[in-house]
Amino acid sequence: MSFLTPLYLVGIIAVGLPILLHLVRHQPKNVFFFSSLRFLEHKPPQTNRKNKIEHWLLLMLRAIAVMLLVTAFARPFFKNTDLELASSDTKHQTILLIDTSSSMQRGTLWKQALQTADEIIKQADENQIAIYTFDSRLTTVKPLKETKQDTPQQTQQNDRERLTKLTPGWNATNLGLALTEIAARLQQQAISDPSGTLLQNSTIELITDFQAGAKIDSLTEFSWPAELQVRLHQLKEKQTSNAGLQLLALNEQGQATVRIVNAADSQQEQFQVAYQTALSESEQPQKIYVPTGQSRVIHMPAMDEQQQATRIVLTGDKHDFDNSLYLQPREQANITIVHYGTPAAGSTESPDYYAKRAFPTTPQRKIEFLTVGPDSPQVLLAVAKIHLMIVSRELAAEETNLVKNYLEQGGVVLFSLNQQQTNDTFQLLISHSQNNLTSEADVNGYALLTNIKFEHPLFQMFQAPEYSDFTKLKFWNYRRLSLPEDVPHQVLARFDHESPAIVNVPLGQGKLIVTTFGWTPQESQFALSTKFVPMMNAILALNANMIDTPSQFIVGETVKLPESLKAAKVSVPKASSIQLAAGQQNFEQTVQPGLYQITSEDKTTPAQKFVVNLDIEESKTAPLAIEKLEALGIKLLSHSKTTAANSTHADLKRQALIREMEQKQKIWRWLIIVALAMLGLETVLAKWIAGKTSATRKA
Amino acid sequence: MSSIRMKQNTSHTPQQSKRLASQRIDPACLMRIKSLELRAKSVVEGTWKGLHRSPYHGFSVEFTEYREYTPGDDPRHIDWKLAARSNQHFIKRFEEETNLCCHMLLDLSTSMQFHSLGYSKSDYAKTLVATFAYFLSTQRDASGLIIFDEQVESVVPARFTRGQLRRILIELERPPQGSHTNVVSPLKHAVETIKKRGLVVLISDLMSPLDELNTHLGYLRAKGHEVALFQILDPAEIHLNFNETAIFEDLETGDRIALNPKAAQASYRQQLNQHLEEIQSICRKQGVHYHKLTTDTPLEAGLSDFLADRAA
Repeated sequence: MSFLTPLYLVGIIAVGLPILLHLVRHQPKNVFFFSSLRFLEHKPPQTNRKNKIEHWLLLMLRAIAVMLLVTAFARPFFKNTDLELASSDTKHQTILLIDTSSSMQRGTLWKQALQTADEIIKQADENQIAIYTFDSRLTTVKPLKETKQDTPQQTQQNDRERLTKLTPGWNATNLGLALTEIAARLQQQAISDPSGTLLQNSTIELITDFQAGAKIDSLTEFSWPAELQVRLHQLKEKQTSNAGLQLLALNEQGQATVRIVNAADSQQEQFQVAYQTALSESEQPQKIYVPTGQSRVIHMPAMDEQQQATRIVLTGDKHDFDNSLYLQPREQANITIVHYGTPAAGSTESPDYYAKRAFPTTPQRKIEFLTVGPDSPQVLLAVAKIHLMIVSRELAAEETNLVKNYLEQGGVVLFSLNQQQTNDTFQLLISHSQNNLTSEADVNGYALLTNIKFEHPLFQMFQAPEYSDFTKLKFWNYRRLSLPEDVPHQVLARFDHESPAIVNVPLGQGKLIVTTFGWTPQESQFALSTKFVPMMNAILALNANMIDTPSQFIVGETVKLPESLKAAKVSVPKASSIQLAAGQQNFEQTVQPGLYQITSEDKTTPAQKFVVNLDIEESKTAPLAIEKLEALGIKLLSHSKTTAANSTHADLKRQALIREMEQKQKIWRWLIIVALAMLGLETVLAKWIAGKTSATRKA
Repeated sequence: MSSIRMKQNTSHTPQQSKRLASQRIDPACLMRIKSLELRAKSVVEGTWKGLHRSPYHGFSVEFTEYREYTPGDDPRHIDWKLAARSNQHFIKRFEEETNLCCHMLLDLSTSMQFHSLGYSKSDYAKTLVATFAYFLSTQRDASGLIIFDEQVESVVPARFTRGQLRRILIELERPPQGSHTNVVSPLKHAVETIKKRGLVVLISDLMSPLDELNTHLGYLRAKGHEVALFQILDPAEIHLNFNETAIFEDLETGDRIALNPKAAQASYRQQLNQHLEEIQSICRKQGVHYHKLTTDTPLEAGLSDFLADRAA
């Protein structure tokens, strides 16, 4: 048994009180004032009875009651394994968290970081050290609780070697994310740690330039554990002037709109910006004045078409790491749409008239719309080059095979069951023998669309309440479609008579979108409605090849690759090219700024280019105020606090654990109850004895 | 004349004694009277009045006898008229010849504060002094008072003026000051200051050591003074008849002892008796009238014993 407040045990001396009272009860109480004691011999009251204790039981009860009370005040508790673990596991854990963001490339910052880390490793002695680096994400160099049984010297040596391998990268700083992740990991570890002192014994040694661009917002949503402390080693660079570039827009003519950000602690305000091509140095630098801590937007002149500029370079500041802005003008995509319909020049009654107009050419795409009439020659395009097939007339057998083939290879076909369509083509397309899959519906007045699957990509853009009103879209007539159950299909919308209106039938790798209505004004208001063009383009976008790949990325961003790229290779700036795995959809190795090129093994597929630039936040190199971290609830530890202070802290925590344990057990309550019982018994016994004595006296 | 009366007084019959005894006032009742003067009057006016003799022959309206002048007599006392008639020198002896000069030495030390009867030894002693003073004033005798404890506290020189009794009573009303008893200093004082032979009455409990008592009493006697010693004691002091065990605190020294009185009684009595005997032996040796008065004794008894003793 242990005691929370053992000093109270001194009160055990009080047990002498009842004994003393038992002994001194014969001492006279009265005081007589006498004229003179000259003739009185000192004859104290009879001593033969003085040291004799008459009522042993009473004395015992009183003594036990006193002892119990004293013990209760000392707050006893039983130790358990948790406490033993807590006392045994008093080792301190140091977590080195080193900033490897691109802003750390400035001047001597990285050198300072390594020195600081080295000193911490030296001071840590027997402390466990975990090493993490962070930029936009947290990277483990040496995890928590590494189970290597090395000597301290070996461990230190290993840690230093690990440090030497580290270099600052090009990523942005997400300090908030790094801290929250570390804290979450420690909390996770603390759950499995029964003593609960792990968090208290952990210190995060944060080595960073703590620049203004470091994102710490995620800390606002995180409840920082009160026990976990962070010691901030804020590195400082003498040369503080820094400015950075951000691309805001790049038009087809190669004209860039650029923002220049000047750091808040910058000492320079005059900069030059110029295009730089691969072949030549910068030409015609544009002077720009940016006050410290502010930014300016400039429109760069159009690039020379002959010499496509690869980047914009900023000069005039002290740090070069963020002075290049890579450019990759987006290339116009060639899109081919084949319409099996009846061409009718200028006729507003033809489906072709509306379909053609639903796909305008834009800066991003160049639409080639081919209308194939019943009498037209066969289309000699490669299937891979057709992005969408629209069928609004009855197809010939060869044409049907062609469409089927296209579907098999992953194509998207919009099949309109309009007045001109017959059941046969549809039957052939879905390869089903059942006749009368479709029949003319009896429409009394008009039909409306209901049960629309807004979550489908076809209707996703109409999900917002302001666009989801389809009641103005009226259908004068349509075809009833009864697809057998063995044909897998998904009804995307129904008419108000519950007959399917739009059905998605997956065929092979492709998608067959069937509309049971025609879009010409004779049949419905669809082609004239605001829903027509978005829906037609949404159908075009169902084609996997149509994924619009952007060409500008930030370091660390994931690039989504088109599905059509098979066994592609990505050439990376200043490094050997990376072979992509089959079916790999994401490219995550955007680790440094520069031009990237994806080349497919398929020679027909043109190479895709994209550029990766630095996050503009990294250019905001002015140091942040430490108070910002404190305001977000981080417990910052001052540098002066030594490990001794840490051990005191650990002791305090152990005390807290003991207190908690004592409060759980609450043995003192039982002791008080027993003491009260003893006193009650003593009272009864004393009364009985007194009664007995007085009775004897009377007798 | 006085000698005749004294004789009468000293040889009172058993009936007289009985009457006197019945007239005596219980000290407890007496002490309830607040005024010392009243107390003294009560005692004196009972029986005793003008019953003592003086070593001096004074002047009085009525003379009692003539005697022939012998050298050494005060010529002032020669009856010149008789001398003119008879050509003989006679000395007149007057009726009122009791010009006694009495000095009372009262011990008011803290040990005199002890009481077991509701009034202290000092109350008793003060009443005794007041009684003496009143008695003497009624006899036109001079009385003086010296109050002492460890030293002489106040002195009222002996006179037989009208206000003398008042002065003595005022002195007696004063609260006691000191603590210890030192009988020597008042005796020394008496030896040094009292020039006229007279009566010196020492009233004390004499619980203090008796080292120099003998010597200083001797000095007084040597100067021709008649000395009477009244030892005032509380009955509890004599018998130590306390029932319960208690802590006894010395009134003078403040010493405390826990005591079982029953156990200590025998030894105490023995020692006290030894002490008293010692005092008596000193008194006998020096020709001092010794009177032991316990505070439960009626004052008249004390006085009568004293007067009887003097007359003897």
